[in-house]
Amino acid sequence: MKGYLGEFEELVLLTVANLGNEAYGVAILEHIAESAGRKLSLGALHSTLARLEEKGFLGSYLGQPTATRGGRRKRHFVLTSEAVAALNKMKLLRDRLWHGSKINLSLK
Amino acid sequence: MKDQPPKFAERLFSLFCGEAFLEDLLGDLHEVYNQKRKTYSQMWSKAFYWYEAFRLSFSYAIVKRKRELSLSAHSPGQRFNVMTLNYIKISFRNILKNKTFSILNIFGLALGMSIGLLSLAFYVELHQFDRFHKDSESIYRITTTLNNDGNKEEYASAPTALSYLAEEQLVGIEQSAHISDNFFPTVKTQGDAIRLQGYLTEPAFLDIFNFPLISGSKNVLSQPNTVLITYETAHKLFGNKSAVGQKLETTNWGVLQVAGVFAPFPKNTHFAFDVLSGFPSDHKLNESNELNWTDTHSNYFYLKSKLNPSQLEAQLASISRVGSSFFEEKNLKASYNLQSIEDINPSRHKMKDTLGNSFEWEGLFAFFGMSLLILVPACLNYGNMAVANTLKRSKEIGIRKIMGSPNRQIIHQFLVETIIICLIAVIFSVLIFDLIRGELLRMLVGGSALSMSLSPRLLLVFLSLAIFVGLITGLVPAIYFARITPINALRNTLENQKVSISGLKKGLLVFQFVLSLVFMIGIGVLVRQYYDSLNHDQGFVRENVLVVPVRPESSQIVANALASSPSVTKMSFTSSLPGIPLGRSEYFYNGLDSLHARVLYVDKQFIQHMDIDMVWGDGILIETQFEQVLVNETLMNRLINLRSEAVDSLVVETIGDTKVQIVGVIKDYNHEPLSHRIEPMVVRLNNAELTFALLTISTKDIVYTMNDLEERWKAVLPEAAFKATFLNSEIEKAYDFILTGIKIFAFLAILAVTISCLGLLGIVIFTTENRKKEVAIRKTLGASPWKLLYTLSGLFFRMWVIALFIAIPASFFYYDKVMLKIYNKFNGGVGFGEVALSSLLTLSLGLLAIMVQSNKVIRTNPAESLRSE
Repeated sequence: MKGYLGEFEELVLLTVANLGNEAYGVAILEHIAESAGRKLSLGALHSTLARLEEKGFLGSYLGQPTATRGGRRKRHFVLTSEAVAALNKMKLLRDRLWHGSKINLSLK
Repeated sequence: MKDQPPKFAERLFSLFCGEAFLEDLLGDLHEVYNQKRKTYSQMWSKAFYWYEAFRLSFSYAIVKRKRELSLSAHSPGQRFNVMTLNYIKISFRNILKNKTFSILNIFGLALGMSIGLLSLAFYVELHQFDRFHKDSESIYRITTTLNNDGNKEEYASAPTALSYLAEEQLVGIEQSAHISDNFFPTVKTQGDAIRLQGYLTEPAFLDIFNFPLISGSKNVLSQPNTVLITYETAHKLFGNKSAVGQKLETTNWGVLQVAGVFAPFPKNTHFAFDVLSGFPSDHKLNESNELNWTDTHSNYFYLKSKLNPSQLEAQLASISRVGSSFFEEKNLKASYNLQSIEDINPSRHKMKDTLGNSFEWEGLFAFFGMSLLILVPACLNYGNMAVANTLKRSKEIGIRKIMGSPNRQIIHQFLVETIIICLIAVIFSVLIFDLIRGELLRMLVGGSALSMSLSPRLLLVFLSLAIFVGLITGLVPAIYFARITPINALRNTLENQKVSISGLKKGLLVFQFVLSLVFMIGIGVLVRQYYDSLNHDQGFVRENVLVVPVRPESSQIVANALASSPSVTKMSFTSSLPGIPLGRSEYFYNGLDSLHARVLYVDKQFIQHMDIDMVWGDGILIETQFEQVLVNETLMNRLINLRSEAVDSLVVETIGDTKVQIVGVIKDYNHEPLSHRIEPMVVRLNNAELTFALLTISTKDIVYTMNDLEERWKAVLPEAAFKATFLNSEIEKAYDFILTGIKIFAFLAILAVTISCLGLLGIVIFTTENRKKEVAIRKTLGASPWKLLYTLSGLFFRMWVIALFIAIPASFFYYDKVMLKIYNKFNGGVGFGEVALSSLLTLSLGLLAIMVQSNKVIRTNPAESLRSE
C-alpha cells in the first residue's frame, strides 16, 4: 500500500461509505454534488476511483442493469479494510491536531 | 427523433478506448444524459454528453483499463490501430527507401487521377444543381412527350394552353409560374451590341425560386417592358453606377426600364438568365386554339406541390384531354409528366427544347470514359512497377511469412502502402485539377454555370477516390506478393519465375504510345491551324486599322473630329467588325419564299476602305427612293435558286417591312472568323446602327497618334470613353478558342506521354532486374554487356513502330473529321512536321528510359549480383 490519502480521495471514500450498497459512478457524483457542493465531471471522478482501486482502498463488482443506463450494468464500489484503516488513521490524526490546537478553533 | 444519447459520440468513444471494459462507464454516461434531459434541451444534453465522453476518454480510468489489457508494457492495447499503425509506419519507410520509385509512382498516379477528379467534380457539381431553392424537392416542371407511332420525343416545354389550364384546375399545387425564354433583348452600347438572355415570367417565379433582389420587387414581373437584371449584367452594362431607373435601348425589344437588380446568386442552377420581365397582357391565350396546344416551343411551366408527382400526373392527364384532338390530327399522342427540378441536371433523358443549362448523362459518361482511359493505364503501370520491385522486397516478405504472418496481413500491408501513395498523389492531383479546371470550364458548353470550386464535400469525394483507386490498384501487386512462398523469396529464386513480358502488357503500352502520339500530333495541327487562321487573307484590309467603338448617335461627330487628324488616311464605320462573328440577321422575302441573311450596316466608305472585291456593281450605295443594298455571292446564288426565271439587274426585295434594291454583289469573303461558314449576307446603309469606327492610320509614332486621337475625341465627346485597339488583335481574340484547344491537348499529351513512359519504365525495370544474373554471368564470361540494351531497345522499337502504324492513320482520320466539323476551311490537315516531331520525341523519351535503367544494370559489378550464389 502506497501513498497517503488526498483530500478529494478522502471525500470519495467517505461518500462511498455513506452510500453503502448503492455506491456507483453517478450516485457518488450526485452525493458529492449535494453534500459538498462540488460539480465534477465523470472523467475526474472515475480517474480518482481508478487510482483508489489501484492503491487498494476500493474494490468493485458489477451490479444489475437498469433502463436509464441503456441496459448497462453498474459498477459498485466497496471500501476495503485498508481504506477503513486509512480513514481511521486520518481521523485520529485530525482529532489529535484539533485537540492540540493552541488557538481557539471553535466558531462560537 | 428518439431521445437517446448521441450514437456517434458513443461509437467514437468505444473506438477510441479499444477493447477496454466500458460497460459501466457508458452506463454512467447514459444516466447522466437522462438526468440532464430533465432540465435541459436535447441539444444541450447531447453537447454535455460529448463533453463528458471527451473528458472520460483522457481520464486515468481509461488509461488504466487500457494498460491492464495490453500484453506488454509497449503495446497500447487497442484493437483498431496496432496493426494498421504498423502497416502505415512500414509503408512510409518503404516509400522513403525507394525514393525514385515512389516519386515516379506518385507522379503517374497524380496525373492519372487528375482527369478523374475533374469528372467527379463535374458530377458532384451537377448533382447539387438547383438544390439551393427552398423545398427544391417539391418543385416540378411539366414536360411533354410526343409519341409518333412509337417514336418518342421528350420536350422540356409544355403547351401554353395546358399550362394555363393546369394553373386553374390542378388540385394541390401551392405555387406555379410560367416561363418563356423567347426574350433576348439586344442592348445598344458603344461598340458591339450586347445580347442578353431573358425570361418572361410572373411574380410567383421569385416566390418559388431563391433569387434574392438587392432592389426592386417581384411585382416588376407583372408587367412587360420593366425588367429585373442580374448583378453581373448590371455591372457589365452600367459599371458601378446604380442600374435602377436606367433605360435599356434595345434593337429588338424597344426601350426597357430597369426596375430592380438581383443579388449575386449561386451559379449552379439550370436557369440561365440575364434579365427577367413580365408577360405581355395578351399572353394568356385561348385553349381551343390549335397552336396553343401543338406549339410547345419555349413555354415552360413550373409548380410547387407537396403531393406525390404521380397524383398530379393523373390530374394532368385528365385536364389535357381537351387538347388531345389537336395532336391526333397530326398523328401524335401527347402525354405529360412532372420532372423534379433536382432531376434536370444531369438529365436522364435526352430532352428537346430545354431551358437554360442542361447537361446530359451521355456527356458525363463520355467524360468518365476519358478519365478511365487515362486512369486505368496509370493504375496498371503502378501494378507493373510494384511487381517489378518485388525482387528487392522478396526478403522482407519471406521473413514476414516465416515469422508467421498470414497472407491477409501481407495483402493488408500492400493495400495500405498503395493507399498512402494514392493519398499523396491525390494532393498533387488536386493542384493539377486547380490549374486546369478554368480552361476546361471555358471549353464546356454552359461551363459558366459551373464553378468546380474546392468545397469540403468535393475534397471528401476526392479522398474517397484516392482510397478507392488505392484499393483497386494495390490488389494486383498485393495478391502477387501474398502468393510468394517464403522459401523462394529467401533463396532469391524469384527471378526465374517469369522473364517474358506478357502480350497484354505490351498491348497496353502500345495503346499508351498511340494515345500520346495522337495527342502530340494534335498539338501540332492546332498550332498550325492557329497561325494559318491569323495569317489567312480573309478578303479585307486589316493592317494598320484601328478600331474605335462609338455610339451610333455620335458617329458623325466622331467622324468629323478624328478625320482631321493627320495620321488618319482613311476612315469608315460599320455595325460589326470584319473577322468577328456577326450577330444580326434578318429575313429576306421575295414574295415566294424567305431567306435568312446576316445583316451588316455600314457607311458609304466601308466597301472601298476595306478593299472588298465586287463581282458586280461598283459597291457604292446611295440613298434613293428604295433602300439600296449589297449582297454577297452566297445570298445571290440562293436568291437565284429560289426563282425559276432569270432576273434583271434591279431586283426589288423585301427585308422585314422595307423594300430594297440590290445594286451590287460582293465577292464572297470571310466577314466572320474562318471557323464559320460563309453565310448569306446583306450590306445596308444606316447611320443609326454604326457602332465601330475603322481608321487606317499611317504614323511613325503610334503613342503620339493615340494621344492625338484621344484628345480630339475628348474635345467633342468629353463623357464617353475612348478605346482604341487594332483590328488585327481583335481578330486574334476570335481565335482564342484554338488556344484553349491547344492547352487541353498539351495537357492530355503530357498526361499520355508521362504515363506511357512510366509504363515503359516499369517494364524495363522488371526486365532488367530479372536479367541481373544473366548480365553478370555474361560479363564474367567476357561477353559484351550491351546485349541487354539491344534486346530492350529492340522490344521497345517494335512496340513504337506498331504504335506509329496505328497513330498516324488514326490522327489523319480523326483530325480531318473533327477539324472539318468545327472548321469549315481546314487547310492544313496532319503535316509531316508534327508527325516526325512527335515520333522522335516518343522515341527518344523511350530510349532514354531504357538507357538509364539498363546502364544501371550493366554497370553493376557482376560480383554484386552473383555473390549470393
